Amino acid sequence: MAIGPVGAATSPGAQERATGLHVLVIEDDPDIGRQLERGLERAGYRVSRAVDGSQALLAGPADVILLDLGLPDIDGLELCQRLRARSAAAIIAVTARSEEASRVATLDAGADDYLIKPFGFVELLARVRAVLRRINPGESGQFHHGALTVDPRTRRVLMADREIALTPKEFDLLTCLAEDPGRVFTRQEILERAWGGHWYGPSKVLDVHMASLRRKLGDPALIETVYGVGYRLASID
Amino acid sequence: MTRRILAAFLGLTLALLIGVVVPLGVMSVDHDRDAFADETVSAASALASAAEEQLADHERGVPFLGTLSFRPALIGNDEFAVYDNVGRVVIPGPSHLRVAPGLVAAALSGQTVQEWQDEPQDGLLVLRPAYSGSQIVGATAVQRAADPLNEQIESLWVGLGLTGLIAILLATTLSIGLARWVGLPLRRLDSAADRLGAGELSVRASTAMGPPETRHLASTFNNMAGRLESLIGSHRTLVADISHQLRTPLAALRLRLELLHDDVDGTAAAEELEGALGEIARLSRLVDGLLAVARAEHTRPEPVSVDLRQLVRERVHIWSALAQERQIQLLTSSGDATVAATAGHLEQVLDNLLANALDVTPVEGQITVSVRRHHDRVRLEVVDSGPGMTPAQREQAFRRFWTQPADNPTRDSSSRSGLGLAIVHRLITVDGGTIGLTNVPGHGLAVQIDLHPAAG
Repeated sequence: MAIGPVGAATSPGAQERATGLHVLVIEDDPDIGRQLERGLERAGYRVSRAVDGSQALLAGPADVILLDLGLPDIDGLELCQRLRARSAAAIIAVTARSEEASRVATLDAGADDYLIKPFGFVELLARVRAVLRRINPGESGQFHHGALTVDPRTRRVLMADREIALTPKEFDLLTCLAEDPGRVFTRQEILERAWGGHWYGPSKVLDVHMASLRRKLGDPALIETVYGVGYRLASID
Repeated sequence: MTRRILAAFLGLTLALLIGVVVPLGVMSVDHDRDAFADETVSAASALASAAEEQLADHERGVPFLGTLSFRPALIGNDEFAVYDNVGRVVIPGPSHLRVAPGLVAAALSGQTVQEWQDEPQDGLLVLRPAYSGSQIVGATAVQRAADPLNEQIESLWVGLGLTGLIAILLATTLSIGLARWVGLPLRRLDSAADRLGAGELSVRASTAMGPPETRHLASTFNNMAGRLESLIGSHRTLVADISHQLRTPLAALRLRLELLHDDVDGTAAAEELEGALGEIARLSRLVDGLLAVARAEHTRPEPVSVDLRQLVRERVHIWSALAQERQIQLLTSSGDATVAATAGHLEQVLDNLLANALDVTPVEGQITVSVRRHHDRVRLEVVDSGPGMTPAQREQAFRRFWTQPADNPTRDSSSRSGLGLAIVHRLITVDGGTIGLTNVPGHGLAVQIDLHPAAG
């Protein structure tokens, strides 16, 4: 996957620390549950865990709920609906099923977002931040990079105060890069962020969208290709 | 089959009509004519007996009365005459029957003369000698109109004709009914087999109708379909289940390695961990690819009319930015063509083919996408300017997990799953298309896809 400086940024500790927000992890697999707890705590979240649906329904309030849909006692979608009914927390569903139909069903059941296994911490934390931004619109959450402004909440992009019309995919790609300007995002990372990591077609589709994004931004040098690795926003000197 | 059964039935019926009914009619007509002739002859005989006394008296010199007091055995319009022993008319009938003298002479010589006549009216003329003891004393002639006989014969033929017609109608109805009885279940079975072949695995044939052989065939077909469905179903769930089951441990492993990576110091260990994470990413892609292949293999064709020119234009537009970055010319030439394809398949196919073409085409090379009529098909062709493939490579290219040994392994080789062309092959063939690879001298590889034009 990665070489050199890229790896350092894939781990949770390198992200800015969250300010004590509470994440409820509902996961029956003890191994994954433990790793999630460790990683989220390192990123600065308070974490509590539930191993099945009945525990989850008894748990205290949380800001974000990570819900594995494959629980032993309750159907994941049903639990999702019940959690949604009693809590304003952001719900991120975790599933091993990647079919479009099941994604739609997940979102219909009240989930704010979904993660498809196997995912990494970068993708997880990015999605946690994204859902938190959506439910706490008070924080601007805008990214600025030179003449570029990206507002994930309103999904608008400004280049030197001129609005740029992007497709949803191009926007996702740009948001991903803009979150950490200068850092190289690997192809795998970007694919995971923008396609949920489960793009069945050729991964060259990523390059296709990047090329189109560059064209629209009007500054081909803004997005740099790091050959064999991935992409990054060029640093501004 | 309906036609054959109908032909067999009608042939048999016609053979019966011609071979049996017609001769029967002819025999019956002969019999009627004989009976008619016999009756006429006996009428003439009876007349002769009645006239015998006068004729015998005449022999002895008694003049003729000129009439007969009674006319035995004569009916309706019968005409008659009585002749003496030298052939003179002694008792003329009411309309003065004229008879050729030769015939009278023949009768006077002892013969019974029968002659069918057309003039002045259709009928039978009979002359009989009249005997007194053993001596011929004269002759009688009776001419009987054949109208009643003709009517009888006519009605016989009409009756036989009607019977034949009814037989033919009956045979037709029966044969069509039979053909339906046998044919309909066969046709249903055929359509069931067709749908099964198209991937509708739950289809079953009806075993409720038709002859026992057909019902047996239908139930055999159903057994086969059931077995096929369960085999394919278990294969499908196996691939999907394995892929899904692999994802959870992959997730655990990945998260664990990422945390470990954060803990370790020293570049050597970190690099090893990154290598391991890279392998996990590869495994994940493989799992996704397998699921994609499984899905493509079990996809069911639902062809709709697709405007291929429009689709090519859109895909090429999307890919043009990337081609431009790599200084590769992306050309299209497309005629008007609508093809029958399942929605979404051709987009995936073009994406995969363009990705492959961009992979092998050098800087300042070109890629051509063309659409044209080819015989009764529509040909979609993607030609790159890469190195092409050897015949052995072309033969294997559609197999799963096959990847072309790359001249330039740095470029995206890690992202190749070896599943792209396998998926393309499946997506094309499921809609009844064909796909082939050839080398184009001076260019590179040409992928040629022949698709069914949209109906109508």
